Amino acid sequence: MLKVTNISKNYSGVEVLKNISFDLQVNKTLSILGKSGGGKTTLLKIIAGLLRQDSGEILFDNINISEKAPELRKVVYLYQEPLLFPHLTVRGNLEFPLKLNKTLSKDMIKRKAEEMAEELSIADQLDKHPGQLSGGQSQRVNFGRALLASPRLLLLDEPFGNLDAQTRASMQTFYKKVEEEHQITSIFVTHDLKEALIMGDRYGFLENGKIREYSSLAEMQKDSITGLQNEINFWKELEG
Amino acid sequence: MKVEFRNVSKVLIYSVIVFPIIWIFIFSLFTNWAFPSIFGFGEFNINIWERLLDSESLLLSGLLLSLIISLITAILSVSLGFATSEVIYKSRYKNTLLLSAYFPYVLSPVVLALLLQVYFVKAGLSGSLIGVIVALFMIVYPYSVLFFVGYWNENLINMKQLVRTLGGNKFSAWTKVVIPVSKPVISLCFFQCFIIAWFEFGLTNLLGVGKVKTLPVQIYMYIQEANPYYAAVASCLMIAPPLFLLFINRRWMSESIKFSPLR
Amino acid sequence: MKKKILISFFLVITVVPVLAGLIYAFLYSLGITGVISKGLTFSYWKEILYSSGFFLSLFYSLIIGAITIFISFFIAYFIYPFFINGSGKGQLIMFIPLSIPPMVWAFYHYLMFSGAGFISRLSYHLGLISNPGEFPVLVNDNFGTIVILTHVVMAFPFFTLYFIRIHNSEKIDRLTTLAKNFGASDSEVSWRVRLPIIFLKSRVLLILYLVFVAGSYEVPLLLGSQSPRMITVFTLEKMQRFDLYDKPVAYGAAFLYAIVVLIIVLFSLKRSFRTDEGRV
Repeated sequence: MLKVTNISKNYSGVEVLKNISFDLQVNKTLSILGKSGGGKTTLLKIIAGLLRQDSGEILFDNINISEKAPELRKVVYLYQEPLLFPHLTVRGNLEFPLKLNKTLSKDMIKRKAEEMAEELSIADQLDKHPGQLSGGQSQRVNFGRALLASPRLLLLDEPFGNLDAQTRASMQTFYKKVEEEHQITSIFVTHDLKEALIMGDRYGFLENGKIREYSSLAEMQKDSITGLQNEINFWKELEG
Repeated sequence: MKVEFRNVSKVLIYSVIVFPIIWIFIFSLFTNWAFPSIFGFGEFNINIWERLLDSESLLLSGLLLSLIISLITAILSVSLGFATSEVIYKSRYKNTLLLSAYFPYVLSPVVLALLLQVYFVKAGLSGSLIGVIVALFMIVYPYSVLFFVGYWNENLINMKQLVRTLGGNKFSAWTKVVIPVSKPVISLCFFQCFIIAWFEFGLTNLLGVGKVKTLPVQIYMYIQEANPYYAAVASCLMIAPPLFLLFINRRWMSESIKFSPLR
Repeated sequence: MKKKILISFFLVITVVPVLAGLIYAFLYSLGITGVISKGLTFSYWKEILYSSGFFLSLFYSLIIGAITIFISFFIAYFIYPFFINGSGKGQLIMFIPLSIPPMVWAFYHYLMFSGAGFISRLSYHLGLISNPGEFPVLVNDNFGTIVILTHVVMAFPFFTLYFIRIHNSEKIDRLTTLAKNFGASDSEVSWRVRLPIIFLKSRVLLILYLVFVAGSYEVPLLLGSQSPRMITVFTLEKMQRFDLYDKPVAYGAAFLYAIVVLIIVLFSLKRSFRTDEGRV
């Protein structure tokens, strides 16, 4: 279980995160909704170990990982862009985290990457370079590469933000499926209300450096600050 | 008509650019180019070229010396410049730091050498190979920093961080992603750093006190001695390595202007 | 920690030596340090400011720089459109002159334009002159003709490549179409759209390049005039003379020149950084 306690972060006098605390059960997804510049990325980067918090701690299965280097946390952070390594093929990208693990044999690495490609329906793209892939395909490779790192926690920072509406919808369905099959624990950050609802098991609303947590949709709907009720009202009115 | 004018202009420009190289090379193959002969270059004489094979040849040692100095300066400047540029790119004081990098680079190298001379003499670096390399590094390293600061971008920083969360350490982030991804840019920067060191005359001459006889120092010396034929051979030796590097980098060259510190 | 080490290293290489050099040069020019030091005196500075020819050299160097930039700018401005499209080989050829050392360019132009040089011989065969002495003095002349020419052949290819980049990044093709839709003619587009954009976007480069040319050494050393001399040649000559009393003047000249360069660089780059930030 992930336990985040009293995380705070200042940037040149501006308090970006104020005593953020929340828990996340294994195999669950926490959707964090919030506007741009609300501190979502900062929070994820702190959990991943890419930024240092000013105070507070992060525990994973009761072990404090707050001071650990990013590579020792087993937390993969995925950016809005797929960030596939341009000097490697799709195969090279998928094999990348496996090769960092020195215990695996060459055959094993090759097999695992091919199995993953099969699962993500990109087996025919293995020898292509990132520049030759569509947005959706790139994002699949990105997920595959992350999963092959066997993370305990996946942090997704608006991963579908750059995709067109249709690809975005199909990627949401695809990710839900992968998430269930691989029993992933993840934090999914988005500014899109609908996406937050689709992706999460639990919900968070991050504003002005503070987080509010909701264990159900109904609970989130009740809190007027999330704007969920307004959104529902809008669509109902439109339906007439 | 317009197209013709364009083509004629292009041919004219190409000739202006390529002619000097061909002309100097042909000139280097002859001696006794007496007035008023134009293309009858005098006596065909490749003695000077042949003497290059002699292990005691000054030209050969100048070539090797220039290569050693330029290569060491360029390698040090590129590697340290790349590492420094990341820190400066991310720094809050980026612009102020960049200003301090522009200064030694824009200031005339020979004047910089004059300002530094006393310290080089005191440190025992004057007239030595190491001294010349240290002095060149003081110009080329800031150039490399400026070049790479223009190259760093959020995607590259994010990619580097991604490697960490995928399980790689700092070292593998550099060796497995940052450096391979940046290979063309590193190669270009190396080319330009090499060229700055390779071209430098005034600074080398002053701090080398005439003892460090690189090719530009020799060309100057031969011209002073009214020995244009040796100067021509030395000139050919000076043109060849940059052209070779230009050929290697040809695919990325047009990109290089994007990162040029003289923006 | 690594950050601090790298920044400190950077400052030690860029700021410390220049600063230390400037301080030493200033103290030397005031007679406070150096072999002939007899305590504080302003006599060397009087010489630098009033009688040494320092300002003439500085002014001459800046004029040579300005003429070089002016000519190279217009050559590049008129030829860069020829190289925008195409295989990129044209652009690659522009790198060739940049790969030839200034010393070699200077030598080549010496062989071309000196009294017994290529052009002189050509003139002889065309019947324009009957002996080398009749050929006009172009090398080492007071106007710095060949110094300017040598710098122009190195500058215009660089400017051409740079303008191609500006043309693409500023989307000048689209702006041209737009201006033509408004009824502008080809020459109006060139003078009222293209030229102002290229000039504004390259002005910092032009200033830095001017400073660069003004501070060049080997080209004026080989091809420049004896009087007036370019600032670097002037300073170095003072330094290398046997008269020890010229050394403080040389140090003072180097100091003053460095300060002028510093002011120009600070002024132009600060402005450029400000506009950069404004755009973000």
